[in-house]
Amino acid sequence: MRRDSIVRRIRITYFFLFIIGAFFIARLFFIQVIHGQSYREMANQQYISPSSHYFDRGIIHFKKKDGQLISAATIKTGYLLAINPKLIENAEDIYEKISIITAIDKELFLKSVSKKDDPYEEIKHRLNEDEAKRIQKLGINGVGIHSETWRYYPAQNLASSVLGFVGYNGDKLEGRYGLEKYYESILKRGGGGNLKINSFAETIIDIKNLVGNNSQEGDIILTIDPEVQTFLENNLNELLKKYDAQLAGGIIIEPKTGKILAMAAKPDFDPNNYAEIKNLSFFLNPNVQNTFEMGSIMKALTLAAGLDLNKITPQSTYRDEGFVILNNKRIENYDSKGRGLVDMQTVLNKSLNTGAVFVMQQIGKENFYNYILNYGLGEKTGIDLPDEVSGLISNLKSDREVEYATASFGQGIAVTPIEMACALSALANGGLLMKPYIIDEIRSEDGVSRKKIEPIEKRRVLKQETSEEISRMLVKVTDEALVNGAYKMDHYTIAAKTGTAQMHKEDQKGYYENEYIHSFFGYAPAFDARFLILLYLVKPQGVAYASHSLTEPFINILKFLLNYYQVPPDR
Amino acid sequence: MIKKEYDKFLLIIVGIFIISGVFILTSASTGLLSRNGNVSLSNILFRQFVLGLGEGIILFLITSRIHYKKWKKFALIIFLISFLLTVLVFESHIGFGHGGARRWLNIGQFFFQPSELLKLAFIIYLASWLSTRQEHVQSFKFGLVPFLIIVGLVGLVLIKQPDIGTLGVVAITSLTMFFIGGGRLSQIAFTIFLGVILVYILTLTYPHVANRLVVFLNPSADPQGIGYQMKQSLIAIGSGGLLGRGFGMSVQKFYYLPEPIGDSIFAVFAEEFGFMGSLFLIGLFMFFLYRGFSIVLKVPDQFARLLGSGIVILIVAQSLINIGSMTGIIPLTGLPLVFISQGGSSLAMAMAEVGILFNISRYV
Repeated sequence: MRRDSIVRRIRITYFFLFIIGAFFIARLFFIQVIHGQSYREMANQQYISPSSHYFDRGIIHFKKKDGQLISAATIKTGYLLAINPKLIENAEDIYEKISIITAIDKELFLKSVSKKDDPYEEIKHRLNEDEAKRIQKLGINGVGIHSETWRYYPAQNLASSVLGFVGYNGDKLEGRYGLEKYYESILKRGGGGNLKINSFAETIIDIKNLVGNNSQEGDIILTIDPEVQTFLENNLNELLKKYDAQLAGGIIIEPKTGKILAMAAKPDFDPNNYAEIKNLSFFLNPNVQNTFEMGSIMKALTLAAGLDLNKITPQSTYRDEGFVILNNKRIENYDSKGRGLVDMQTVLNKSLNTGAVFVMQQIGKENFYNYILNYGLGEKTGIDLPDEVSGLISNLKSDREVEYATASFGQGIAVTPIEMACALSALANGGLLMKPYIIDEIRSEDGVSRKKIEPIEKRRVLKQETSEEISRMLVKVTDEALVNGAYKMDHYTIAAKTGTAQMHKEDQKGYYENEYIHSFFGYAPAFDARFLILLYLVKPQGVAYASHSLTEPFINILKFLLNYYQVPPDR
Repeated sequence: MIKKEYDKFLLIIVGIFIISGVFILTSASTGLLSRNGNVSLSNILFRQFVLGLGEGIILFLITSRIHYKKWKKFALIIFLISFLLTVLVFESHIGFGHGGARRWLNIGQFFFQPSELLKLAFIIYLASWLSTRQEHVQSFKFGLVPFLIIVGLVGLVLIKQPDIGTLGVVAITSLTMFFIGGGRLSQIAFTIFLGVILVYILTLTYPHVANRLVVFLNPSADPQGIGYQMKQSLIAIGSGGLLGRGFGMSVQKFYYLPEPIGDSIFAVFAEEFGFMGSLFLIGLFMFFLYRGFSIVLKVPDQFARLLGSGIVILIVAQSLINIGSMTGIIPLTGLPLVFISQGGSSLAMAMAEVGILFNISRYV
C-alpha cells in the first residue's frame, strides 16, 4: 500500500473521531445548558421522596383553657398480619392457632390462602404489640407480622363532626371530611407517605427552600377546648335520647372573636371505625352543612334591626289581634291568642309572631332584607371547615309581604347554625359580625414556626347602643319570662331566647303538622359576653316547646362555662 | 533514524489527566459514604494513587524507554501470554469474580484485570500482523478471514467473562486499525454486518445486554429498574448546568448513582463542574487525539503508525463510550473513563500505552 493512502485513511479516522467528540459536546450542551433547569428540578424532587412504608400525618390538638394540648387526631403504631399463601400448609390448623390470639375473619383467611400465585395477602390490620409478639412466637411458615402506622383519634367520637377522618379516595389516603379534609395540605406528609429527605442533599443544597410547598406543613391546634366540647356533647347525647330526636346540635362561640369553643352534632361517629357507618350523612357536619328554619330566635335579630333604625324602642306598642293576614295568608301567634296593646319586651317575652311582623313592617321590606344580608344570613361564614353551605333566603327576593313577615320570626328562610351563631354574636359583642374560626394555631412539626390565627372582623352590623339595648331586653326574657323566670341567676346577666319552628317538608311545599325544630340561644355575661351558646334539636318527641326541652341543658352548659372559665359575677 | 525529543505536549496532557483524575476521584469517592458496608476511602484512594499510579509511572518509564520496534518482535508472544492470563480468570484458584463477572486475577494481595493487558497486547499484535502482510490485507482469504479469526478468539474470551464493554472497544479499535492498515470498505461493511448479528445473538444469550438495549431505545421503559442508572446519570449531568454545583458538591454521588467512582464518574464530574467541565474533559481527550495523531502521521514506518493510532483510538474510544453511555448516546456499558475512573489496572495500563506512544514520538 502506498504511504499517502495510509495517511489519508488515518486522516479520515482522525476527522471521524473529532466529529464524534463535537457531537458529544453538543449533546452535553443540550443536557446541561438547555435542559439543565429541568434536570435540576427532577433532582430536587427526588431528594424529597415519599416513602410508602409508613403513613404519617400532622397532629390535630384540642387546646385547654390553660394552653395544654390534648391530641384529637394523631398517629398510632401497631402491626399488620399478612401471609404468603404459597407457604401456607394446613390452613385450618393455622386459622385455629391465630384465632386464639386475635379474632380473624375465617372466610377472608381461607380465601387469601387459596391465592397461591400471590406472595402477599393482608389478613388483619392494627394488631397490638402483645398480639403481634404472640403470633410471631408461633413461628408459622408463611405468616408474617409487619409494623404499620395509621390515623388514630384518641377521643373517639369527641368532635368527630368537626375533625372528619382520613380515608381512601380511590387509592389515595387523604382527609375525607371535616378538618382533615379542609387542612389536607397542611396535615399531609409527602402525598400520603413519610417525607424522606436525602440527608446529603440537605447538607449540600438548601432543598427545603427549593421545594417550596413543604414549608406549610404542620400540626394544627384547635380553638376547641376538650372539656367544653365534652360537656356540650354529653348534654346533646342526653337530649337526643330523652326526646328521641333526629338530631341534636350545638355551637359555643366567643362572640367578640368568632372563636369556636365547641361545636357538635349528635348522632355522630367514631372516626377510628368510620367504615362501620353506612349512612354517609352522619359524616356531614350539620352546623355548617345543613340549613334549618330556626324559628323564634330570629325575633331577636328582627327587633335589633328595628332598634338600630330607631323604628321602635322597647316601649313601642302595637295592637296584638292574635293574627295578621297578609297576601291572603293568616299568620298566628303560637297560641292564636290576641293580647291587645303590648310593648316590644312582651313580644320577646311571649314570643309573639304578630309583634315580629309589626317590627318588620316598621322597618320596611327593603331595609329588613338588607339587615338579613348584613347579619350574614345567606352568605358562607368562611369558617375553616369544608363544604360549607349558605343560608337559603331566596324567599326574600319575592315582593310578597308575607315572605318577609314569616322571615321576621324565623320561618321561610333557612340558615346554617354557624351563620345563626355569628349573626346572634353581633347582638352580644357590640354589633360586629366576626368571621368564625376553629383553628387557633398552625405549628411546624418541630414547633419552631408558629402561625397564630387572629380574629377577623367582617363588618359592623348594629350600633353599639343597639347591641346593649337588645341585650337588656334579652336579659329580661331570661329573668322574667323563660319558664317564668325559674332559671334567673342572681349574680349573672343572661341574655337568651327560645325558638320552636315547624319543620318544613323536605321535598314538597308546606310544613309537617307535628314535627318541630327547637332552638335556643343565649349569652353571658350579657353586657360583656364571654360566650354564646346555640342549641337546636330536630324532631324531638313528647315535648312541645324549646323552653321545656332546651332551657335546662342551656343553663347546665352556661353554669359549667361560668365556673370553668371562672367568670366573675356581673351583678 | 534520528533520535529526537519526546513530545512534551503529550506529557503535559497526560499530566493534566492524572491531576484531574486525583481531584475527581477523591470527590466522587465521598459518595461511597452513603452506601452500606465498610468502605474504606483511604484504602480506595491508596490503591488508586499509590499502587495504580505508582505502577503506571513505573510502566510508563519502562515502555517509553523501550524502542517501539522491539514490540513488533515480541508481538505474538506478548499476545499469547496475555491471552492465556485472560483465560486464567476462569480458573477457580486465582480467578476472581465480582458482580456477576469473572474479570480479575487474584495473586496474593493484588487484584489484576488481565483484559486490560489483553487490549494493549492485541493492538501490538494487530499492528505487527497488519504491517507485515501489507499486500494481503485487502484479500479476503489472507486478510479478512485471519483478522476475523483473531478478533473472534479475543471476543470469545471477553464474552465468556462477560465483558461486553471491553469487547466493544476491542472491536472498534481493531476494525479502525484494519481500515488504516488497508482493509477494503466492503470488508469493513461485512465485518460491521457480522457485528450486528453478534449483538443480536448476545441479546438472546445475555439478558442484561438485551435489557440495556431496551432501556437505551426507550429510557422510560423502567425508570425504577434497569432504566434507573440511565435516568440518574442524566439527572446528575443535567443538574450540573453550565457551571456545575461546585467541586465536591455532587448530590447524585450519594445514594443515587450506581458506581460513582467507576462507570458513573463522568456523571459526578459533570454535576460538579457543569458544561464547562464537560467541555474541558472532552477537550482534553480531543487534544490527546490531536497530539497522538500528529505523531502517528509523521512516523515513517507502518508498524509505528498502526500501533500509535491503535493506542490513541483505544484510549479515546473507550472514554467516548463511557461518556456516551452516561449521556444516553449509546447503551450502558461497564467501561471506565480512562485516567479518571477507579481501577488500578486500567490506570497503569493506560500509562504503559502512553509510554509506548511517547517512545514513538521520538522517531518522528
